[in-house]
Amino acid sequence: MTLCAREVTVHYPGADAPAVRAASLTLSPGELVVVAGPNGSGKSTLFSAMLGLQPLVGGAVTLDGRPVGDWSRPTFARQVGGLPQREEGAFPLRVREAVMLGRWARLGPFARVGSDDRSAVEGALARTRLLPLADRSTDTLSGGEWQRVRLARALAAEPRLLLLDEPGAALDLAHEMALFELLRELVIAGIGVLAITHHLNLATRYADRIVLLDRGTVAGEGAPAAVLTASLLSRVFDWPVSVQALADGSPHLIPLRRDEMDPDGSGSRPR
Amino acid sequence: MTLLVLVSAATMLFGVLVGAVRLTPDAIWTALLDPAAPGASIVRNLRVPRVILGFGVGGALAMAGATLQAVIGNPLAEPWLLGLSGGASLGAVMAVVIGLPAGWSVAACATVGALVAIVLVYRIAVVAGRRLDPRVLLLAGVVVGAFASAISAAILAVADPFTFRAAALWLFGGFAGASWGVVLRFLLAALPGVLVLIWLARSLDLLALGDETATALGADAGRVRRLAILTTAVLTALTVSVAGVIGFVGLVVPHAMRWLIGPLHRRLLPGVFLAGGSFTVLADAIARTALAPAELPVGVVTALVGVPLFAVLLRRSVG
Repeated sequence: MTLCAREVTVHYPGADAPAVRAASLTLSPGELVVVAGPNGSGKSTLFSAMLGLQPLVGGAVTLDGRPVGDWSRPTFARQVGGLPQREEGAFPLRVREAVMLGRWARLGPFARVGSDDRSAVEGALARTRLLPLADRSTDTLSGGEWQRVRLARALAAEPRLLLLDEPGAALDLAHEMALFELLRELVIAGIGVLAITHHLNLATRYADRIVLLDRGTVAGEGAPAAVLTASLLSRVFDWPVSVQALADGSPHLIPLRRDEMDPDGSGSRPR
Repeated sequence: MTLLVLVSAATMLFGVLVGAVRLTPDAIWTALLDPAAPGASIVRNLRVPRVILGFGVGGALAMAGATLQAVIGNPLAEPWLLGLSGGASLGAVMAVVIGLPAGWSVAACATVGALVAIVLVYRIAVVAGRRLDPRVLLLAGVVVGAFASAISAAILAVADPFTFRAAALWLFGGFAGASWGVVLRFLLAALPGVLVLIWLARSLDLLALGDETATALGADAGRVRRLAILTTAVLTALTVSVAGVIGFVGLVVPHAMRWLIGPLHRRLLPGVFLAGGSFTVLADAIARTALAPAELPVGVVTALVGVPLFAVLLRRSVG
């Protein structure tokens, strides 16, 4: 079970340059891959391309060697879960009902909700610590709670791979840490997780691999310590960055203040 | 749901009871059992088919409304507001004017009219913004609906009196034309559409979350939307071909039912069918009796209830 993007190119109609250019990326069960990069570097486009939501100009996205477009949507959704960044739910539901929607791909149009569906939903609610909120209406939830409901809904489908587009964007420190802890738990349970995030310092401490995007292309990929070097980050983010090693050896990056930069402006370490 | 079935049965009974000619429940009961009883012809050939037709039409319109609201992701969507009804009625008027026989051919022309209307509405809305804005879509629907009504009115203005009488039904709406033949034809034609929508129910739950999320959860958003809109267009056209344009049933009923039984479509769609049927039978009973012996178009009654609710919903969706 591997989701594989090979030399993927996406060009939005009317845009000057492709949003993603010849980008390659794989995701396998049991690994946590973080995709990072500046705004507009093509993270979300690559995310939706990997879910088969985006027409490709070049390259291919395959699941187990078969193009994503050849899978029926329900079959694909049973293997690969996806959590887009935005969602405009038209009608409020109870939290438990909302999470049950994750089972529809397994149930089809008519099958009755069975005991394994219920236990998958309860399991997803427990993992995301939503059991106390299970009977609340989704329009009464905070941003962080709603994000957890969406994650629980994706987990209820029991996918082997899970893709998340900035899952921590609306979350405060504790909720974001809890989220990454949960993602780590999922990885230990054998799920492959790909998450887009801007929080590189969290990524370095949780990710098995980091993929750094720059203007639609992969600028670096590998173990966090190998990818997150001061020179690469400074170039990609167009801002001087210093990288220090934490006690556990994981890199920690510090964007520099103007008065910390070297006179030549390239700055690689704080004074 | 049991309660809904009981309410539906009660309103249908009530619909048979009231009318321009006053009949006691006793007389109605004997008329139902004995074709030779006094008033039997009124009950058996006028009121019963009229009530059944009203129920079926209302149920179909309410289901169409609930479906459109899910696929467009906006609780304000409705067959009349999206221009489907106007297009269908223009199609029906044209069928009568060019002399096609009443029945299937009128229904077919109405269907074509509804489909042309929804395609136009989509084209206008997509051109106006790169992403489909539901509010632009509704505006386009109202505009296309108004355009279709204007053409219908122009055609009728130059039509001979006989055609005018026949075609005016499609502009104002009502169940005066109900007969057993019409009822059977309508129910037979509408049944597949109703079943398709129930088959789509779970996909509609997902589509209400927006296309990206729906697809990620295993719905083929584009295909479901096309099939759902096609089906609602056919259902709307069928209702227009037998009862003319009746607005707002598809708005009022789904809204009330979502509040009562929740927004999941496996429950909502059957519930909306029963409630839409009951609502329309009641509206028709009011239309027949409020100014008796004159008869109000039933669309007037549904609009009197629907427009205030629409205003409230509109304010809430913008604010």
